[in-house]
Amino acid sequence: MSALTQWFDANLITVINGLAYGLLLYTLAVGLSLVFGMLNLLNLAHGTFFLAGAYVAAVVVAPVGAWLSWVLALTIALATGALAGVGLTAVTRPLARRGHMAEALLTLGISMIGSSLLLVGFGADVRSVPAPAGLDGSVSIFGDPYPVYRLVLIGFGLLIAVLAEVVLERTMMGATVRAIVADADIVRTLGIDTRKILYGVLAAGSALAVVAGVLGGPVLGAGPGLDGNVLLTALVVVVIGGLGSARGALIGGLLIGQVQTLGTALAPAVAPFLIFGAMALILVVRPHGLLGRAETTA
Amino acid sequence: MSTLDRPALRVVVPPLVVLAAAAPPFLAGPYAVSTLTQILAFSLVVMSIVLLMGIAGMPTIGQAGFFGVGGYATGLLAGRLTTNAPALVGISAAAGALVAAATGWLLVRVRGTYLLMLTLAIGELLALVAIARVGLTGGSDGLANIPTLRLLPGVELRHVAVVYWYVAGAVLLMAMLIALLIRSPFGRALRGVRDNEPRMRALGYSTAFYKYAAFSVSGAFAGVAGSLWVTQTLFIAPADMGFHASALALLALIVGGSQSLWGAVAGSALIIVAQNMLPISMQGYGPIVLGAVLVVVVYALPDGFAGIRNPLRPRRTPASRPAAGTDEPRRMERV
Amino acid sequence: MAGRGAASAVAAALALALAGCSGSTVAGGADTGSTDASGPVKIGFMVPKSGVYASIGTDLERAMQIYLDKHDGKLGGRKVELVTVDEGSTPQVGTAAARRLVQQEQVAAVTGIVNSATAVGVATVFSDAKTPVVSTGQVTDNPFWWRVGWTNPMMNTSIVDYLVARKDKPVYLIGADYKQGRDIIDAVKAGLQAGGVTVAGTTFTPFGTTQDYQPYLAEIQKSKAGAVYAFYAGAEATRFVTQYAQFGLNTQATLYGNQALTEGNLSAQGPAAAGVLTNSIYSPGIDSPVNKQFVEAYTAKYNAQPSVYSEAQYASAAVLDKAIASIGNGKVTGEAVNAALGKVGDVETPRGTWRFDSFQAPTQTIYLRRATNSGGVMVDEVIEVLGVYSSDGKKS
Repeated sequence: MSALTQWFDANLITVINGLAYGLLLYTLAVGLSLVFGMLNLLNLAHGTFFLAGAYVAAVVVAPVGAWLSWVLALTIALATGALAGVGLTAVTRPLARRGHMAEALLTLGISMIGSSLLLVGFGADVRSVPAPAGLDGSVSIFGDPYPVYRLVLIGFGLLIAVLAEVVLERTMMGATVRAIVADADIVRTLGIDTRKILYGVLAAGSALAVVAGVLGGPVLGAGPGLDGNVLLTALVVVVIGGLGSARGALIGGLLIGQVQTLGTALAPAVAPFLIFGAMALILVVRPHGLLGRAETTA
Repeated sequence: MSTLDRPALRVVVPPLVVLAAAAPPFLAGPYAVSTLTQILAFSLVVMSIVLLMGIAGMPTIGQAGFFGVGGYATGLLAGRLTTNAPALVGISAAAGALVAAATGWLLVRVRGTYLLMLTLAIGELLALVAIARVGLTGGSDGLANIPTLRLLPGVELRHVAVVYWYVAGAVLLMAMLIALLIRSPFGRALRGVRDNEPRMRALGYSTAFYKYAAFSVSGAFAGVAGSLWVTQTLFIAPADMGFHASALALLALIVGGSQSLWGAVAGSALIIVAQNMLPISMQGYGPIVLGAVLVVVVYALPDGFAGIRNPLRPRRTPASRPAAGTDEPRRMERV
Repeated sequence: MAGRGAASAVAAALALALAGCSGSTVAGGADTGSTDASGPVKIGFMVPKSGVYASIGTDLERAMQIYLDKHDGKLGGRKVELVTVDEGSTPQVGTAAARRLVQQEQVAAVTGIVNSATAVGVATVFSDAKTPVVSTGQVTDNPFWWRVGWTNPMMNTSIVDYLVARKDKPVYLIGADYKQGRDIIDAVKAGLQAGGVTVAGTTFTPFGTTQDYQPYLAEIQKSKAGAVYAFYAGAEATRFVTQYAQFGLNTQATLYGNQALTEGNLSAQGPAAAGVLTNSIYSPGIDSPVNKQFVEAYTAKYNAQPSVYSEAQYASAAVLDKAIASIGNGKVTGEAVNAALGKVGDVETPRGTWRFDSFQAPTQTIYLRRATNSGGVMVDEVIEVLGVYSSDGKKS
């Protein structure tokens, strides 16, 4: 017993940090997962959206660091993300009949162009993003300092998780979304205009990715290469949880959050293998992720 | 590989292909020839994906991992065991096949996007092994100072032209092998698995075995590609085997047309040229160009370069088109 | 197979590949880098324009421009034709660029190259073609490679000597997990242990993919180390230093590193870097006419202070300038430039006057700097001269 409490005491900060990181991953990944579930669209530009958000934070927040600029950054992120999502739906729809490989490659092309434009626009230096004034200090958790901002991040993440749960499970719109994930054709035969919902989900999913970028800015900074890194991690999160499942994204995010922090602290030598190892293991045991359904077979 | 139906052409074309393949060192400068060598070695990885994805219907984004296994096998053994290039090709093929076989059993139950992600994980994990074994592989810096290989005792693969002929010859041979494989009963069975797995199972085929075999065989070809690549560059790094490299290979496949070996060469040419040979003023903007090409290809050429029809040739009727050449991408979505 | 038209696509790609490179590979062709007596000289300039080191690439290009501006675009009295290529973020891109320089451009010498992994990967491409390289890259035992910046041994021993002399509290070592990182951390560790300093722990973090250092920082916290020596560069250095402060470690353990930890990253690290101690071969504050001129020209043109990398590139240009001048009316081939580099003697550079030793690298003064907040701008302020060190790390 005392060994357990001792272990917990020694690793508490790391566990909390894993929670913060996991919820950030969830914020990023939930949109990716729902978009895939509904449109069969694997959006490889998702990481670029995140990076764009981080740059928004760097540009808008960095010079001032005050609350107001923070709210402004989030507003810009929501607006640009939603716009980008609508744009992405518009350009991928014509390809829908050609299957998700063509669409995924289109988004890959878009992400390559987008990342290069960000590099040209913001330069190659990593920008660090300060936390908003008042949240830039640290608090003591059982004697160890921990940045306040990361605690706020946990709050934000939980808020988004609760919102997503309520919207998806308790509203008519959410029911429609879930129905489309399950079988879009049936929903269409019921006379429901699925197109509006598709646009809405891609707009919301992309907006969340950009918002995640703003939120993640003070933790990860903004710089070239970040987009690819977070995209890979988000893909792992989504696949572990099961494509199309919001709850799956939450579980996947929390799991990978701990794997990347606690796993690293406990076994630094194998740390790099952990994330892909965890995914391979889960897919071998559950070929459709933890909460995923079988993809329909032709 | 060929839809040549006129017997005369069958006789004339192969020597012409060999002749055309042998010609560049007489016509072009060393940089162009070494770029061509690179294109051909890379195209063999792409061809291995043609086999796996175009024919067997298993999407992959980890093929560069086996390319790396072959490359490291050649690079590590070149100084220690033998500098005989063909022997090293054999060893690399075996290494690629072995590693693919060791990981392939993970894949047979998994489909579609999950399969794509699992192959991604395998490729990344292989790259991480190369990174972690710093003492042996040089870590993420890569394996440098690989000695020059020999084609035969006394024939060094040092001169740009000699390396080119060796790589071109080997790739031609491998391409023929893959083409034969695709047309063999094995290849037909793979297409059957791709198009309708439950039906194949009902007919008594062990579809899991066929998928496993396809994965292992394509691993062997990717390993050979790695060996040929290293023969030229005398250098290999984990960056050559991770997600990015696999994505480029996949891109070459799509740009070329996912079922065409010619398309694989054309797609590889585009990728390598875009990477290496953009005007100097464009350096650093390579990704924009590649991205734009990708967008254009996805919209305008659903079947990649291979889908471009020769305007001088009468259109073939749908009936004469091989079954594999039809609306393949749509099928991809449901694999 | 649906691939007939593809043959024409292949042909088109081939034509594209061959465009601009006429001649024949088999027929031999001109020997590399030959230039007639008074004609222009072709110099390859390999700089990162993409990837983690792209910002350092900018420093290099600026410094080169400053030098050429000052000397009417000439090196050794000959008009310079600078062939700039992207070394990319991986050695693979680098080797392709290197082949282009020797096979197509046939340059007489090469300069630049930031990433040490790329340097190791391309070294044989250049030495096989007998093309000399003047670079900061850490390539040893190659007769065609001339290191103009620092060497790992001199950076390592100078900081070890300092820590040992201070009899500092237990030191924790952390670095990026690649060859350069391991070489440096292992050497510093061995030096500290030999000097009787306790090593509180050693960790290597995955290179290029680590976003959050918290798990590692927690281990440092647990170890109760009084000082930390870290090896990071570029984007990783910015993240590490920022998070080091975020988790309050900067108030517990002094952070040491070599110049890569703060060089070019200070503005991004901001106040988090305050108090970080780094050793370096250069500081813009060095009091010499050459340096004053260099710093003035640089700040006037680019509104920024030159970095260690800028200075090293400026020095590379100075070295090539003197070497090519000594060839006189002879043919400027790779071999001729390499021979001239061996006899180049004292070179006057912003950091001071030095000459190549038997390891083809300089013996020079090493400074210790502290990152300080100077009126809202972070600067690396020289606080101590650590001494003169040879390229194999011996103090003189």
